[in-house]
Amino acid sequence: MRLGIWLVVVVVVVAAGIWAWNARETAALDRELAGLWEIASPDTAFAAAVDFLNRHDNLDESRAGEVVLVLSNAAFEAGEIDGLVAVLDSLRASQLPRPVINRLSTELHDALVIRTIMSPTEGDVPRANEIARELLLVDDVSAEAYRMMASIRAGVLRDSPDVSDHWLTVELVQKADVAIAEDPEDERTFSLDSAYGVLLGHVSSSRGLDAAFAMADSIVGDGEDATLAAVIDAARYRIAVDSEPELALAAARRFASSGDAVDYWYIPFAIGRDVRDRGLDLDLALSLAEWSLSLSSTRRESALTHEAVGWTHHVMGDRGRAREHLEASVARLRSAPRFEDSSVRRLLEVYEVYEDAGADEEAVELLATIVARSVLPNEEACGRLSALLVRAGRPADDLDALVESYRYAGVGRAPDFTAAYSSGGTVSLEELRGRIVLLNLWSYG
Amino acid sequence: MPCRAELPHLADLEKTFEGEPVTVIALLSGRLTGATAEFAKDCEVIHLVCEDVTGEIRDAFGTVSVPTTVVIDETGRVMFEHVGFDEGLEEQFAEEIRTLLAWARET
Repeated sequence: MRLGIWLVVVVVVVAAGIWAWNARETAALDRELAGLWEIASPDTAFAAAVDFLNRHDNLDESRAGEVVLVLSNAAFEAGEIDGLVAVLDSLRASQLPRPVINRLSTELHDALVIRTIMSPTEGDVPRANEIARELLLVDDVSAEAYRMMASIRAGVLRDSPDVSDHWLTVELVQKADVAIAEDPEDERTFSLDSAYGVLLGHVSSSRGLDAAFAMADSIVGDGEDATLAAVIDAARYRIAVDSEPELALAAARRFASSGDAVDYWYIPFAIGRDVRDRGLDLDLALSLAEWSLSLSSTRRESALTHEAVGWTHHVMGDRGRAREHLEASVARLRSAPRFEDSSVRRLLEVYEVYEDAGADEEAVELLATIVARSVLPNEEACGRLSALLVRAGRPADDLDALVESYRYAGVGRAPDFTAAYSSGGTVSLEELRGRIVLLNLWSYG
Repeated sequence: MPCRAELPHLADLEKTFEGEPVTVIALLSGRLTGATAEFAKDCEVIHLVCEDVTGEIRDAFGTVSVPTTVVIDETGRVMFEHVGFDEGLEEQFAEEIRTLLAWARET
């Protein structure tokens, strides 16, 4: 009996010891992994990530994926696509676990496709395609990785004359739908639209509209996938609108009724704008523009969609709503309004076309701001401003003083910052008071 | 690539306004190493490059895409902003700087 108890105690102590040791090892691994993200130099981070992968050849997929992300981020930051391709190739040939190799392969595919823009190499697309086909056969790549591959292909290989390139892109988004993802719906609409749009566009160009529509029907099938059905209707509109506007319009109307199935603002925005500009169905154009406005999230998206809604109202003769939305669009411009900004020109047209709109003061303000900050002669804006002053019963002599008073209208202050010169030393905007500063924000990739 | 197309013109702008109270800064998202450093050296702008390692300054300006060029007057006001770059825009930058210099002399 006593021996039995002692045996149990020994087993428990040993098990606890092993557990504690494992926990310590895991914690050390995670600390080292976190340290990779802290390395400021891309070259050093790249080398450290490669070294980490070689030393820890039994990583779980999540940790391996994180290391690969450090590695490719560092390579892209340093502009070292060729170096990234070389390292990924050598790592893929090593004895790392299969899930890690597959993760590396997704990055290699993306680097090969992107390299065709930066420094084209003849064999890159066939190699990328081969890797994509291999990855379609595995089950340990995330949905996000497949969608990234598809999006990059749809953008870079859009004009490929080989339909198999486009089918491969579609297969990647289809695979994304069955792969494991943290957020399965993230960018799904965008990636479906990209992949199928390019494919159907290619088929329409090479085999005709009927063939493309037949393919579209087979893709949609029973229509259970509402998002897929919606993006296919969007593609039908684009490929049919020049030759068969009634067919295109039918597709656009179906698309407009897809509601929550679409969460990407640009698709209704672009179709609505086209429907409006072609004069096909203004009610439909307005509905699409308003839908895109509801989906917009950034300032730029909001400026563009307000302009779309406003201009559609103007074309439909509703000056009040036109003005409201175009003013909202112009208000979202970051810098001084320029005569060339389409929302500015549209707003001026709304102000000036409807003489009884009572918008002369607003038009004067907008034009005066434009003229005040036009560094090159802007005779058209000046001419329109003078005409407005005359119409408002103000003397033409008022022009110079008026323009000068708007010189700083709506101008904001730059946020103060301090930055380090790469050659040593620092600079702060506060210290540069009294000087004109041209600040160029750039990146290499 | 617009960022890389614009960079050589920054060195020209600096030379154009040598002797004037004008500062040109090329604020890089990230660190200047590897191919990025080689490129900046080739464009003769490496002395103008500051590093925005964390992207904090870019976020403070609300910049969504690069290149973005901001022209700030002598009191710190953002007077002009350009998103993207096309050949010929460097002339616009020069005119904007000349205009701000003239306005600064008026006050």
